[in-house]
Amino acid sequence: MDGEDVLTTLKILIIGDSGVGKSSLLLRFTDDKFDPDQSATIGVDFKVKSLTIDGNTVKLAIWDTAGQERFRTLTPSYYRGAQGVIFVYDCTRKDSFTRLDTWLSEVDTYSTKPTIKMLVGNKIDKEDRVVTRDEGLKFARRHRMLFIEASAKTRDGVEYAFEELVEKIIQTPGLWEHDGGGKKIKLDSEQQPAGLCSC
Amino acid sequence: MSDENPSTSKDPPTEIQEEEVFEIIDFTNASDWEKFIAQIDEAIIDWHLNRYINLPPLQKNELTSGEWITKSTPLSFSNVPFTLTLHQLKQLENEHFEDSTNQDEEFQLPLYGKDAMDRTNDFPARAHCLSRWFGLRCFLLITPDTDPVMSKSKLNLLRSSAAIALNNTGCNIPMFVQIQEFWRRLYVGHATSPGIMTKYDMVHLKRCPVDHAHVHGLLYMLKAKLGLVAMPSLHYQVASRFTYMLKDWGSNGRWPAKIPDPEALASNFNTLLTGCLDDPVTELHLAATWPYRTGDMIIDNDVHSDYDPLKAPRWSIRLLYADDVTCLLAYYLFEFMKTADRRETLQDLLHYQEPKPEQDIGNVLDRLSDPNTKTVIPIVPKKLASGISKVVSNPQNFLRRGAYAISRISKGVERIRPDVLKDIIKFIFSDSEESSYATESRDGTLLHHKLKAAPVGSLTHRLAICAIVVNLCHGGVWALAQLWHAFVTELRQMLDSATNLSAIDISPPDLRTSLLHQKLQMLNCCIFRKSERETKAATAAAQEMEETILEQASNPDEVLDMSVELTKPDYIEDEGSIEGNKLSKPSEVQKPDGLFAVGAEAVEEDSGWPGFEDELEIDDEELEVETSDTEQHENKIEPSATQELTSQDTNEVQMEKNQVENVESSPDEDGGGKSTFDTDEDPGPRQKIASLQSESDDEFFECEEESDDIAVPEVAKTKSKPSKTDTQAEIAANKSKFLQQEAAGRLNQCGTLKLLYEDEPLYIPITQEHAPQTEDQLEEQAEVFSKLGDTLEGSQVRAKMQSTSLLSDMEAFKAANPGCVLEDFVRWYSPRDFEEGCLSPRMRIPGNLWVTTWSSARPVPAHRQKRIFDDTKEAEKVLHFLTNLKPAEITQMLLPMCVQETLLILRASSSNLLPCLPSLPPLCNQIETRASQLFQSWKMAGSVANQFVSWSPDEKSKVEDVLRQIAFAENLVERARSLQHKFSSLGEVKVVNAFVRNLLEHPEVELDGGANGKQGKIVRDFFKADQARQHAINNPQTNNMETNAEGSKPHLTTPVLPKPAGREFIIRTMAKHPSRISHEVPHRLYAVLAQSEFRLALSVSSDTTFF
Repeated sequence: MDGEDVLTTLKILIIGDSGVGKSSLLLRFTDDKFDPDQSATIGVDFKVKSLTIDGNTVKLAIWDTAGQERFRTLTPSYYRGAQGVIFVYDCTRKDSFTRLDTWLSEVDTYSTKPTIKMLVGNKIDKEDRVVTRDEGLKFARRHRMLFIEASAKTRDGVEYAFEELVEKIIQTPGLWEHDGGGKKIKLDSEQQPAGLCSC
Repeated sequence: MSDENPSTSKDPPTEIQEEEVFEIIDFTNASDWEKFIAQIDEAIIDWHLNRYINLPPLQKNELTSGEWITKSTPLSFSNVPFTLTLHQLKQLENEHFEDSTNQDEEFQLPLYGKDAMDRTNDFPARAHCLSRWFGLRCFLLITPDTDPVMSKSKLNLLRSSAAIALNNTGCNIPMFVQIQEFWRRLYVGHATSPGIMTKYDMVHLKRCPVDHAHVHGLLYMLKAKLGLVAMPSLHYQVASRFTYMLKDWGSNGRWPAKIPDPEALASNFNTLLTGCLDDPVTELHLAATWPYRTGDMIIDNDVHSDYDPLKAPRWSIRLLYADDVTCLLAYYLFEFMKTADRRETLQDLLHYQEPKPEQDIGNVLDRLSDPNTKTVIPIVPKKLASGISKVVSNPQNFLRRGAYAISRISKGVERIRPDVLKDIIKFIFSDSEESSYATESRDGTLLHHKLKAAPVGSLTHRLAICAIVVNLCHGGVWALAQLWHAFVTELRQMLDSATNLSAIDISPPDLRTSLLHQKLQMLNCCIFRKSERETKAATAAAQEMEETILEQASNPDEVLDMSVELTKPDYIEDEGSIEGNKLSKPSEVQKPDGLFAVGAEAVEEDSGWPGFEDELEIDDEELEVETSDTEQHENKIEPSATQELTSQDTNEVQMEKNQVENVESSPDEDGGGKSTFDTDEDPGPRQKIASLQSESDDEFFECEEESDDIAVPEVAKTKSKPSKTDTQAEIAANKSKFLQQEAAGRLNQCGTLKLLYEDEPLYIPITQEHAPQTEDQLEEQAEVFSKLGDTLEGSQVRAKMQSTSLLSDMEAFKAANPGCVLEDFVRWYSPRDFEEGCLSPRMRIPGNLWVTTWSSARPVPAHRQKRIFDDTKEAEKVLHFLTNLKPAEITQMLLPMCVQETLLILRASSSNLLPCLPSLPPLCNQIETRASQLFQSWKMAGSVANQFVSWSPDEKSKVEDVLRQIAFAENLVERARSLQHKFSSLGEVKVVNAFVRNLLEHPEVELDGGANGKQGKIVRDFFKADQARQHAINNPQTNNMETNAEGSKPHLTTPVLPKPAGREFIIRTMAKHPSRISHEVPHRLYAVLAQSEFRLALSVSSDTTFF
């Protein structure tokens, strides 16, 4: 499948407290790398990746944001037009989890259209986890989010998280538009022409 | 035949399948006729009608209130297309009501026979005509698709086909065929069921035959048809209904009671007026019904009639409504929408007024091709024309005057009177505290975010209301252009005089509001900063100013040093170019003031406004400045991607162009144009931030420095010198130097934290606010960011671009905390990155932006820093944007506020009218949802450079949809108000509302107590007044004679009611037919006798067993 054949471009946003591993998750997803020496994001950063799901290629424009309080006034402007928002917290830090409420209300305030929300509990490779899977699950259920736990370091769940989110967006009518206009969603398997037997 | 059918219904599956198979085999060599019948058979089987259907009796009025379902299938008779349609009243799923008990009975009436005799559903208010005429709840109908069935032989063929198909399948549902011209609505039909066969026939004449113009004649006809002339009339049941029409409500009932005053309309800018120009309730139909009388009780023949409508046991009324009545809210909006189609620029319109000979040819040509106001085709011509013409044709003088005035005000005038315009501008900018935010309810707050509009009472909101009123009443698009021009001029004046805009909050642009509101918020922010600066400057002593000027000398260079970042090669390139840019135009620093001066002059003269002549001159002057703006705008259309990289080159080319094109203009204006360009031109992405750091600072640091001095008097000044020498001292080595530096710009302590290497508490510094941005700027920035790509370099450039505020915060922090280190800063700024007594690994990466920025940061308190937000430049951008909007774009920008206002008005009405119009709130919600979707999805891309994407046809039709819904909701409101008014004498408000609700929700309403009830009395009074008017006009004698001839009215000296517009009768009987030994079977005659229509619908049944 060549680059031309893209079904649509989706805007995805990653938010969450500083140091929860937003950029690491993104780097793992886009480059399949883990860089412990990744510097703290300033403002917003941006990455592109194509993803093929069920034969449909989707281009993702993923906006990675800084988690620091002072940058918060900068980032909401990027919420506009996002089809998916990934909320990240650190399983080993309770405060990053409790602060999700603030992030949620911020998204609700600034996002312009309905978005698919996903909750990602990062750093499950670490031993000193304080937020249980069940807590994350409950929070996600309460706020109608997708939920997954992941580790950017061990790559557990990272790819799956993005795939799941994109699939959900694609399945939700009215969230996205065709890029080329003429392209249709492809069916899983191509149909074989029925063979005729001659006697 | 008749013996077989019951068994068919008993055990349908097997038998039918066999029959079907037989038919299919026969198909191959069947005639067209047989094929046709087979098609009908198939449809009947498909729809599961091939069985004996019986259902419980109809509920009262079920034919009207129940839900009807239809199914249809195409048929073809030797290539002539027909359609077979099933009309069926939806039943509560108890279709298998029939069964054993009924089967036991010897002889049983089929469902259609029972329904025809059922008196609970006579004269249904709303039903298919066949249902109404023959009293049916279920029937099949064959209609020709193209040519009507005109010949007798074709009719017979079709009729027999229907009969055979019904027999074939054992279906006991009547089947009709439409004959003759479609408009005549003539049908013949056939029904069959075990033991009974029914024929349906119709008569349709233009005039009523004298012999049959009364019950007596109709009775005789039915008796003759049945061959039972001797049968006493006692056995015939007659239901009768007379309908009377009222078209003129008279002075008591007319709505609107007062036509909206055009003067009030034209001079009210606070909100929109509501009301309609004509009555949305056009007619009242009164039906006097006698549900049941036996034939022998009625005296109604060619000489006498005992039908007295005032004594009829049942009175019911129905109302007719006009959908196209002009209502004001919709009128405002649709007229406003016309502007959205205009192509002209503001200048085109302002100059069109009074062309000057020295204008360039382009404008003259524009003018020639410019359609005159009067010939402009309106969007809703029919609506408005009908509304106005109806009003005009009304005999009432004041109505005519009103309509004339409205039409004159809205069509004739092409410009606002200067004094009016002045008042409007004054009103828009007025500081009325009560009206602005007090009116904003909680709902309102939500609403303006939802619709992406502006708060009620805000400047933006007021402007929108004024614009829509001006457009309607003061000369359409020309007036709008005038208003806009005056508005922008006033804004310029406010900026120049550093007067904050009233009725708009001083806060960063709220991205949830409309772009226009954001722009105005932005402008207000700029004005606020400017005024702050100027207030400080005003109180400053001249001496201090001189001192600061001396200090400046060394500052700019340092600024530049700092902004050159050696680690990023491509960034340097840009830096360099900016530097070059800056150096190449050193003289431009003062130029923007030149432009201001031109603007200010215009304002001064404008505000005086001695007359049109003067105004025109101002226009010219203004235009010349604006022309250069427009050119830049055009230049900017070049793809921004290339511009991004070669912005420096393009800039120069564009400047040359400007100079060439502006040959004629004076040197002053030339310079002004250039500098406007300089400030308004959106720099390339990388340049943008850099320019904030260096160029703009250079241009305006004079003011900065002034304010600094005043903000921090003596102490700060003496302090600033050592701080400069300290910049190199990054690592805390020289303690003595730190002690020299005095802390500045502290906000408060950061908890109990203490500096790591000093015994001092850690202070949070006062920081610069982030630069406010409007959504289009943000979008553009995002675009720039994404264009940098997702490479590592791109990432670094992005971070660098966004590090301005980080740097500023670091400098402020250093100033507030002498002797601090990066660790201290991180503990405040990003506490996560300070773990276990040291920086997190990611902060310790050598050369990362946090470290490098920290090392380049000097201790400078926020008030002494260069501005992150260049308000002068931003204010120019906003004004440039506003100046260059076209009227069509202005309309688009203002529409959300206008829709918001109408919606608020409708909502207010809906709470008032809730008791009688409960359907309005949901309708308002629907409008709100649609409008919200529409305005939220409106793309603002490109608006920074005034490159609007105008509405696509799809968007436009969505807008019109919303407006149509608003018009409909408004029409409903006016209907309700009209009815409330008409029936206001009914008593308590509660009672009136209940009755009005009843009227609005039902097609026909029965009056309590008939003619003598309270409701009946009001209706009677309306008729009476109307009769009195008619009598005054007509010759009463002629009137009486006609009445006698019709024989429909008793002699009345003062007739309350007019002649009935129509008389309907249903005559029923159970009689043995065709012979005396037959069973009693149902017969039914429906007749309608109207002025120009005589229609009979007759169903006669025969006992097929005993004849």
